[in-house]
Amino acid sequence: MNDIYQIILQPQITEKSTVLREANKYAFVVNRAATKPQIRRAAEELFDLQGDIVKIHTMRVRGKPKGKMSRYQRGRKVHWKKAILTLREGATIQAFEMI
Amino acid sequence: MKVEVERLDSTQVRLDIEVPVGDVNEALEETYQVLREQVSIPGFRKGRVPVTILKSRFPEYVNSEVVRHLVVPAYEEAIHAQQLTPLAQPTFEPPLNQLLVQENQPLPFSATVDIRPNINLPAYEELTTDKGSVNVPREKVNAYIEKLQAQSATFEPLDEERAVQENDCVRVDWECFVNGERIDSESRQDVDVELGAGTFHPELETEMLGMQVGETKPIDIKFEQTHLSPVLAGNIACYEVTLHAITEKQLPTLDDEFAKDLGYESYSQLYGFIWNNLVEEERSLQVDEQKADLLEQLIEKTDIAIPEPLVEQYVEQTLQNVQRQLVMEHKTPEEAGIDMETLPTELRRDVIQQTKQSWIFDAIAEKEGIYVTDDELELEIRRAAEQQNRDAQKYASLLKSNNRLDDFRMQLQSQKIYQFLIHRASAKKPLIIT
Repeated sequence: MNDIYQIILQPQITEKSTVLREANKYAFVVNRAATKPQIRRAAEELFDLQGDIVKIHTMRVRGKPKGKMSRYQRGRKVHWKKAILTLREGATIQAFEMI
Repeated sequence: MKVEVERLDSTQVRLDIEVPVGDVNEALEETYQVLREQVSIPGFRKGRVPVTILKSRFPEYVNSEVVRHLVVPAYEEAIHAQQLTPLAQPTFEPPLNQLLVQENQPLPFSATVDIRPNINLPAYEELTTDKGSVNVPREKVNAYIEKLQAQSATFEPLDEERAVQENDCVRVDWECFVNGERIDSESRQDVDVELGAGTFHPELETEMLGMQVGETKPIDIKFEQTHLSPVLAGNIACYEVTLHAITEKQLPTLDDEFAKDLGYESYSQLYGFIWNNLVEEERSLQVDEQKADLLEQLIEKTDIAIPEPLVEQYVEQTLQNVQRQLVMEHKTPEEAGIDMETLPTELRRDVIQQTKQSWIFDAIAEKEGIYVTDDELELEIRRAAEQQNRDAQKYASLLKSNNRLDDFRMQLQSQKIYQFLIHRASAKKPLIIT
């Protein structure tokens, strides 16, 4: 679990995350096993944010139930983990600006 | 909007147009609005996608939409404001698909277009045409009446018994046989023939000389391959001619009786009617001549250069049409009577002539304000419908459905222009014969 590309998987671009951006918060989909220190390190390296990350919130998002495989088995989408990075004022993630 | 006009030559201009920042931003905003309503992007409800996302996802689409919204209207506005008459589609520089729209930046581009050159019309008084009054000499009327008289001539049998002589009138039957078969369509009964009047086959006429009343004589005649009747062409036909009588041609006397037979009240009325008709005919001939005369002078006295691309485009297109037509009809050019070598030159001459005429007329209409009003158009349609015995309403809708209403209007307009020109042109000095 040392590969930073295995920790931060993709940016989370939704209506809600767009609103959060105004408070300098950036949302990502991360590896379900990743811890906050790991995410911090990965983000600092990936986006060149040495010391800019103020706070990291993580949450485990349960996959929504979808369909029915048999009488006793329900299908669902995969569970995943979301991380919201709060940056200090003035700092930005360049890659996000392009989207 | 900033517009700079540069004349490249007499028929081509370049318009340098700059769409101001405000318009660009407005168009961008509008495009995003429309786009936002249409796209669905995962993570966003419909209509809630922020502009930044739209910008990054659909840059090309937005660009082309804005260009479409800005460039062509701006070009048209500029053309209108400069009072130019474009002849073809403009070429834009940079091309529309390479034009880049940027927020908070004006949008400069240039358009090159062929235009109708300014036409310096000659003074109408410089044009001359025959404006003399029309007169029809009495002899002409008399000749016309004589023709009528001959048409209602009667043939009376002569009492004396003799052989047929030259310039006699005869009453005959004939039966026509080709290869022993009787041809009904070429056989006649009781026909009055005036020999020597050139109405009859000359060979038949000569063979008939010397015949006696009651005699039947077979006459063989060879017809040319080119004869109009397909039954006779190239064949030898045998005519069995029976002479019934030698007759005398009697012309009716020219009096009120004669006029009444033709449906007039008196001879003087008939005479007057014919005279009027002939004068009318003469006058319309004169008008045609005046028109041709004036047009020729106008074209000669007006210096117009027609853009080469326009001529070439037309010639090319017509040639293609002709070729397509030939292919469809499975004909070679020779069969259709078209000379492919001289055709382009002919077309070129035609198009130049026609274009000059239409430009000159446009210029005159513009300068003198000669246009056809809707009322006039309606009146003229009603008149045309009457002439063809049609319902005016139906005729009008027929014209409309065939898209010929504009043609009709154009025709009327050119008629009005001709009238105007004839009115304004000077009278030609009569030739003085010494």
